[in-house]
Amino acid sequence: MTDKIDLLPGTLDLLVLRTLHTLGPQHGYGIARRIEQVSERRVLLNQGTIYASLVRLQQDGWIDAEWGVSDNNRRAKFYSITSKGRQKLTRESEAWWRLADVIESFLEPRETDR
Amino acid sequence: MKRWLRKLVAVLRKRPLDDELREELDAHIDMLTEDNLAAGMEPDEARRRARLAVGNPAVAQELHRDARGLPTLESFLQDLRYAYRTLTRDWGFTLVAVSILGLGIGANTVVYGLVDALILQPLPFAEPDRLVWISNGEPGATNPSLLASRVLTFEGWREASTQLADLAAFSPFFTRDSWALTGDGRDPEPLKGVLVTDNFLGLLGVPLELGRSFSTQEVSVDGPAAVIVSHRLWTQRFESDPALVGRAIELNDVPYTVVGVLPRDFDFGSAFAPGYRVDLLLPGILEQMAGWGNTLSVVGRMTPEATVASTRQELEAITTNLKQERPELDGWVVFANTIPLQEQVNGPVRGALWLLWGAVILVLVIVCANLANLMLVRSVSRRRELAVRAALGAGRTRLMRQVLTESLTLTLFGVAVGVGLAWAALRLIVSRQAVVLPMLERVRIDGSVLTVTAATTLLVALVIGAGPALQVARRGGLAALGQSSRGTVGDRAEHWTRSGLVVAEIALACTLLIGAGLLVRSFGQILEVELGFEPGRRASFQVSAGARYADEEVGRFHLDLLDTLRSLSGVEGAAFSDNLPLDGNRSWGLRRSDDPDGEDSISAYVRLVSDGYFETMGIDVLAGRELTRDDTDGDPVVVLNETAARTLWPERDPINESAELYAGPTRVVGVVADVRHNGLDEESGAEMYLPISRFGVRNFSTVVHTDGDPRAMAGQIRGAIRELDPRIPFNDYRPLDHLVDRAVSSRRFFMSMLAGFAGMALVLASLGIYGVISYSVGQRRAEIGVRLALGARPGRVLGEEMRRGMVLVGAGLAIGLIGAVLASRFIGSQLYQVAATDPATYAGMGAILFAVALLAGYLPARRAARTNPVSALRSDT
Repeated sequence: MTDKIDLLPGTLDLLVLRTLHTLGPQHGYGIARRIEQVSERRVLLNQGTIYASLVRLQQDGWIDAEWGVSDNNRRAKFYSITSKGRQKLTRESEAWWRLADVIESFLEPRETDR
Repeated sequence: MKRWLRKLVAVLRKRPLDDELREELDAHIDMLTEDNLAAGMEPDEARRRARLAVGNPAVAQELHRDARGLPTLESFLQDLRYAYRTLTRDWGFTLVAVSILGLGIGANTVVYGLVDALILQPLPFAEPDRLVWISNGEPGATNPSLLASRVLTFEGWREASTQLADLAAFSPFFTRDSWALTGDGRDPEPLKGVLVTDNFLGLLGVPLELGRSFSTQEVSVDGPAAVIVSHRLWTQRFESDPALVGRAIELNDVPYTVVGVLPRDFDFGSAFAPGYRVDLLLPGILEQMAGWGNTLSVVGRMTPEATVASTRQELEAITTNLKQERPELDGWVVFANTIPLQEQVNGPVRGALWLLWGAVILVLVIVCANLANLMLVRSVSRRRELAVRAALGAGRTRLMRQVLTESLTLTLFGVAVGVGLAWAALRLIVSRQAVVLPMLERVRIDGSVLTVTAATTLLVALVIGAGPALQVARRGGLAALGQSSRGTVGDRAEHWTRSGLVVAEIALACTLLIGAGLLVRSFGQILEVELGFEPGRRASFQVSAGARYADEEVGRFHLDLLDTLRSLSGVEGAAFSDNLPLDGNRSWGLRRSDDPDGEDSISAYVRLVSDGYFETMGIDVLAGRELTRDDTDGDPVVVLNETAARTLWPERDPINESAELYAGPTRVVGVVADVRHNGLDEESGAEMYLPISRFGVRNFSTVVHTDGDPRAMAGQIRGAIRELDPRIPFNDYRPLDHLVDRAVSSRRFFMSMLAGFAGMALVLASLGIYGVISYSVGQRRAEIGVRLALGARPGRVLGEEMRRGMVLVGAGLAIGLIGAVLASRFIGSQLYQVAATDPATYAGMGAILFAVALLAGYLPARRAARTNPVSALRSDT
């Protein structure tokens, strides 16, 4: 297994928003699990720290939070993306793609290896 | 903005939010555990891996808190709580520090309150910077008679000036008149009233509470008798009756219709006649007053484009023209000296107040130095604690912030105490009218005072916390862990700082002591001034013979009153005067009869007095005789004072010489000693005494000379007066001492304040010395113990320790003395017959400071000499 990637600050926010956009309302564990899945475990994520991101996103108004009941009857806090959050997601995604394009044109083409 | 508010809320809701997170984390771990179980792990393993994946809950909590709240604010609050705990645990230090701070800040607040109300705030009139005062004299002239203007000049200015939108005037000689308020069934009350022009209130922009100002008829000859009453009179005597306007009140037996009530915040006396309470405004009938001579004090309002300089120029030009055009002005002093009204109102006290402010700021500097020293000493003893904190992860910035928060908390305690003290002190000063100062009534602790106090607080907190904070910045806390907790002696920078602070304290205290000493000596000189009359065992009250006495009856009234008083046992003498010393005056021209052109005429203060006046007042008769009852009829006679006599007749005795007054020829029959009439620090000038009954004067002051304390006679005298005429008011019966008191009141006030500050400074400086030596002795206990154990004589140890201290004191004294000399020019204007570099005062204060500092240094040094060598060596802490 290759080394896990440290997430750049702020990118976790993007992943969270994307996850909520795709999956709909989720609790903290669900979001963490999804991120690990999608990134095929390439992302180094201390799962407890996700809550700091979540509360920040909440204060900025990109996501909402509500206490609810999970599948197996646990009391958990569910987070959902807001319309403002969706707009932010679109903006950030575009920004990332643009950045990625620019960087890619500078770097040497790599071999696809794992 | 909303986000910030949310964060603030999160700080306040710390505990519930923490609980919520804990719940979320628990749920998270549970769910992960279940998934692990589903994947086939053993229960224990499942849970363990789940916990690992979630990570350290404490870290999650911290990150969560930082993300949701305001970390800076939270750490500040934490520091505050901590500071509060440390300070309350260390009672001794905190008490001393807070007391010192409280005194220093309190004193500053008081003085700033005075400066603000008396000098900085604009006058309570509309657009006060447009108002000017126009006086008839050279700047610096003090004879009010020479400062007032004639009606003719006033009207001339009014007509011709383009720089002034309008001029108004009042008569400044109102102080000797008394208006008896009678007729409403209560005790007759003696009131002061001033004559004003009809546009006086309008020009100043004073809105009346009720009614209106005077109409044109009311200021015309034979117009209706009208009066405007003060707010105080309206509330206290008339119970705020809204129907007072339109009613008539009886003043000196004449009904006057009340046409207006003044607003609460207009106090005529406060602005124009400090020390007098004026309750009535009466119409100034210019036509009548035109014949009275110089009787108007003039106020003008400039047009928006005018300046004081342009106004002054214009008025001077107009005055010159007037003198040429109007022959009536020949022989009269006519000037137009224009200054801003603000300068007229508070000019006399400005110098003293700035001085006081400077002094109290020096006191604050001493307070800061003292506290900085205390904090430095304290910080040494807390080095271990800081070191531990640093080891636990506190960065330098955090430690510095904590130190500064502590000094801020301490300062806030001090400010709370200080502002409380200041408030009480100011209330005392204002309510008891402890001092005669213009605009005193509006002194209070208001927004601007509090703002300045807040700024001072921050500054002080910064200054006193700077020492420990810099220590932390330099050392970073950890280094201290490695040292022996005895502390290092060799920290040069700190040692020098402490010594330097003490030297500064001593120097400043020395300067303040010298300043105070000079003022005290000056005041002593003033009190020793030969008044010329004897205020002890004498009292006065004002009498006005109202309209119920016809003109012919006034003479009889005078005689009856005198006889009644003189017949009382316990009364050694009684007499009248229209003007008491130190209580207002006026002057007339006087010349010798053989000087028809009046080339050598003088201006003399006039007193209209009854027979027996000189004896009653204790004024020495130097030649000739007193005035007697017979002088009422027959040839006009006059008694002169020494100065007048010598000026007009330098070559011989003026007895039986002939002189000329405006009223006609008169004969000199006596010469008496000079009396200080204007103020204690001014020469008497020429004075003349004329028989009061010749002039049918209805308003005068009665003086009684009693056997014992005049206050004890009050009841008897009141009874006798009441029998004679129950409408004569008696509420202002006061010992003559109060005249002297009022004359020296502001001088005494400033002297006392400065003396108080100097005292504070002395105490603080000695504490400083005590502290420094005490500390140094404490640090070197082991070393001293060794020396004593090895046979050094205790006396020698004592001497050495003291020498350290005295070197500092010597340096401080030297700097202080030089500083005092340099600053002496600022205090010169406040002194009376004492040089600003008076060697006796300098030497005396220096000696006092030295002696006190010596004692302060001796006590800890003695402790050092008495150290028990064994215990000193044994205790390794």
